[in-house]
Amino acid sequence: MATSTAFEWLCGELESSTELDRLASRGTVRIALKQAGLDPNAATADQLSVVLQRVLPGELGNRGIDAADGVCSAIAGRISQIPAETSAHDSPEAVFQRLGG
Amino acid sequence: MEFVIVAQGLAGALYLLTVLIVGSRLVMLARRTKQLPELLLGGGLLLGGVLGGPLEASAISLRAEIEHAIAGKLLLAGKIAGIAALICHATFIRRVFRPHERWAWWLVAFIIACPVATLFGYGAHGAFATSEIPWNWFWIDLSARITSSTWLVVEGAIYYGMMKRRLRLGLAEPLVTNRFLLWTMAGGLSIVMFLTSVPPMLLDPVADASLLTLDLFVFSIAGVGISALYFLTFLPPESFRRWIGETSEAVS
Repeated sequence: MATSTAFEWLCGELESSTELDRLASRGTVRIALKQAGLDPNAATADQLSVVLQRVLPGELGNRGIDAADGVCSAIAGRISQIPAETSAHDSPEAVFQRLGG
Repeated sequence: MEFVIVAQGLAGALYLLTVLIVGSRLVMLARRTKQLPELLLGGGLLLGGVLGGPLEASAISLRAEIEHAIAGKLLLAGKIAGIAALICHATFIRRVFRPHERWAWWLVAFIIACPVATLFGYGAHGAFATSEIPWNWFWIDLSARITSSTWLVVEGAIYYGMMKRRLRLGLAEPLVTNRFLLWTMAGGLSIVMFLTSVPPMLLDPVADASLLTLDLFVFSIAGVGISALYFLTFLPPESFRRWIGETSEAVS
């Protein structure tokens, strides 16, 4: 199934901002999302913003990327470029939020 | 033995009341939000917990006291309601957790096909005239119910794990995170409850009376447990909401 627009955008940004190739960028973002408990198919811009601040710098550091914090901050500054995405289905989190009132 | 029977009756009544309240609340929520998941979950609880289960149980337990034809009709009505509940239940899980996965459609098809086949199997064996349950079809029916609840438990547990990681980053609310845990635990107890229908099929009512008493006791515990978990999941009291919030703050 298709990954989210936000996920694709972040992978592209990481590939162009670092020496990581496409495969390594996608793998790194997937690992960061997994650590954050997020699904690449449903991750949103707001969620990725937190991942960029709290998780991705550490993952890039583990891969020998210099100034990982600066790279992530720069990408986070452009996060508003991610086009809004509408889904026909609510996330399980949104459904369970409603169910308990 | 009398104590266990009374306990089973009370647990059954508590369970019935809980699914009636929670199911009705979810259906009313669906009317307001116009969303399918709450309608499927609420409808499933009402159809299975308020209609299907009690009708089937009545047909079996009253078999010796009422006309076989009436018991058979109760069984038929209970089975139809139970199938409708299972359709709601499986569709809820697929729609909420696996909306894009092809295998999930096949799993839903399996979960629905088993009780539908059972309905015809029961009919072919005359169960709806006598309320005598055919052995082989009982297992096929049970396998669908267990599969559906196991699927619920697996999806709930996976998502609870994800929510815990989100919580650490401030990406999730503690109460919603906890809701996945409670729902998963209720699913586990539902499996236990379904399995308590097995001993009466296998054991002798006289020779194995003590084991059957234990079975009733397990049913009662599961019924009370599910009721408590459903209330905390779908109608959490203010004190529980506060406690979860405070616990989460203390941990973080």
